[in-house]
Amino acid sequence: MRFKVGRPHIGRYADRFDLPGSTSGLAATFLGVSSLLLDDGETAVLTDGYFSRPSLARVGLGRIAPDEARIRSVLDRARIDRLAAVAPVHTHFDHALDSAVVARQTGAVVAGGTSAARLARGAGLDPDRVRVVTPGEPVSFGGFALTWIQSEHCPPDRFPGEIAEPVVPPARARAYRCGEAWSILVEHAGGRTALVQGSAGFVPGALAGRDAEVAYLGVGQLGIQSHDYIRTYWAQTVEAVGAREVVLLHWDDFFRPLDQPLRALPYAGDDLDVTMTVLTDLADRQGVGLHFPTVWRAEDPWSLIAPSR
Amino acid sequence: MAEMASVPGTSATAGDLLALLRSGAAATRSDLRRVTGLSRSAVVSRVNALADAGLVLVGAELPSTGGRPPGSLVFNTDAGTVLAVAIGRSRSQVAVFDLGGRELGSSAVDHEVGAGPEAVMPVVATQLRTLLSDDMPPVLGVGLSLPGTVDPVRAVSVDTPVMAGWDGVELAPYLADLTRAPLIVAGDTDILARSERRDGHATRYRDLLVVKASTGLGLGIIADGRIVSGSRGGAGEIGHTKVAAAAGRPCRCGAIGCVETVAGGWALVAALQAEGRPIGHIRDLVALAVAGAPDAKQLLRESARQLGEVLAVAINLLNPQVVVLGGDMAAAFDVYAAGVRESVYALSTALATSDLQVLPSTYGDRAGLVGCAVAALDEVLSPAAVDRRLRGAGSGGTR
Repeated sequence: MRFKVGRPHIGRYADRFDLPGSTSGLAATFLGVSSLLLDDGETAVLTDGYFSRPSLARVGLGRIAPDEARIRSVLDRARIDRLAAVAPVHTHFDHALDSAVVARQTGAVVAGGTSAARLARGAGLDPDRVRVVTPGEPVSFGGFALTWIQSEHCPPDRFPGEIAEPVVPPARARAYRCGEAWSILVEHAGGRTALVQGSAGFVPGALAGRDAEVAYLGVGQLGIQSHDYIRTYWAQTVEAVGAREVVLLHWDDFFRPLDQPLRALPYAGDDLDVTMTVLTDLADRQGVGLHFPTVWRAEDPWSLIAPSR
Repeated sequence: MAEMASVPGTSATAGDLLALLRSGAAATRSDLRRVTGLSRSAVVSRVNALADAGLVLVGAELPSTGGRPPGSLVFNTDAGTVLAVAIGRSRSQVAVFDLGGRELGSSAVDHEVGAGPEAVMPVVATQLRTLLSDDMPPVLGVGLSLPGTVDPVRAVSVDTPVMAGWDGVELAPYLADLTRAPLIVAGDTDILARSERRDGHATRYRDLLVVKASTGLGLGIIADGRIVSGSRGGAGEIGHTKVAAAAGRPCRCGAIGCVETVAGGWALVAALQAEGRPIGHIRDLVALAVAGAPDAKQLLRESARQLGEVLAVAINLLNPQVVVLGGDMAAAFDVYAAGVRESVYALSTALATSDLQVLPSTYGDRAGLVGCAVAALDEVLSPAAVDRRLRGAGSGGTR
């Protein structure tokens, strides 16, 4: 592949930042990469909670650690005071670096696999605030029921393998190994359902028979895969759960803080234009809505779907 | 579209009673007695005066509408007309409305960019004359909008960067042969905001920011239900806010570093023309974006993002329920709203954005005409103006 400099312009897809705002009830707020706040007004759960967003130089050359001030400012800005659970989609630093600190600041448990548990304990989180989930078994948090389904990381997995020992920050980025990669199914007591697919990987057939009205779909590194891979990924996620609306995650350059305008990942690691070419075609042919979330904004993709239950 | 009718009490004049009937707060004489506390005879005499002037239709005069009680009183929207004149930089629209705000006819005229009133106003008058027919009721008022700032006392354009020849010029004389009805002049962003008061967003919300994103960038403000124009009529000139992204760039207003130089329609068009692109007007770029051209969407979204950075300050200041997007660029609403939202949700306070909505303007490219009509109707049907008219002291009403 020829090396391209620069990055795609996210403005080319401006008309897809078109989700309805949440007026009441269930709301989903995108907070960068695969961090998604789900809040029904009484209970809130958060995937990842990655807010430190250290620079590329720091990630590449130094040791990284949660930035408590940046985490606090994001929690304040997003008006997050209590969380029931923080659920890392896997344990790479761009998902799970801050999960334990966010849990500590909000009274939440960190819920995930054994790698997430070791990461949380290494970060000093009280063991009774760490919950190792059983794949396929729903866990309730207020009105939310979350079910973790084993998935895969999108190739290439730069830091593969389990986290075998607690990781104590500051640590090298490579210490944040992938661990278990999850598809997280969300069912709300009001009947609304979603799939949060943090990484653009899949286990064939893993989501067969599952239902989700909305798919929050990670697309990080998807643009450097073959068109066949992209189509298969869509089939194994969006089509498998029968989602009617798709909202894209993990497209923003996570090497700069959230208080700067979001921009796409550089061509060096991804190509959002390729992803969008393939996904737009699939979405159009299948009559599925394809959207980007607006960071910080409480949105309601379910309102685009006629009540079906 | 009328100001929310306050309850005038026993000092209520005929004009006040008409306002109650227009707003729907009363529909019969007994309603009027109950709402105001006026005596039966006082209500009867005031209603008779309104009926004699043709402003109110009473009971038996009403066309059969199935079930309306015989004592019903109805505001007679056919008792007069108002004219609407929306002057633009290169194109002006004119229309005639009845007193209920229903459009009876309209047309548009193109003129040279930067043409002065001596060139434009006679053409406007001619166009209006063709819209008026002898069987139409009399013209009671004229609403006219000008790009930029209008002095609220003198009713003339002031400090308008692209309408320099209009500054300080009284416009009523140009229409004197057509009508001597009062002329209400307002800035285009105020007019855009007023358009939302006719069955628009301002009938559902009391705090709104109404953006005009066209060749220039401006803001109409409705706070607590009232249009805010500022002490010199200059409220909402956000296009000339200085921003870091525009540092060193000369603006058409003569200053340096205005947000318009990176986000105004004129700046986008100039940048594209410098690249040799065949774009003559911001509407050409918007048409490309609506057709799906990625680079056009990128440019509009970036304009909206820059505007949103300034708008975020206004949102922190005024805490509106709604931001309404109007003007040529807002015709690509999804694209433009995305850019505005991106900045606003990142930069305004979490409280101010917690239930903020971004909505398209109700009337699109007709908002200028609707707003001019609303401005004229609010003026000529205000209780004071109606009372003057009933006393025979009102000006106009003839043509």
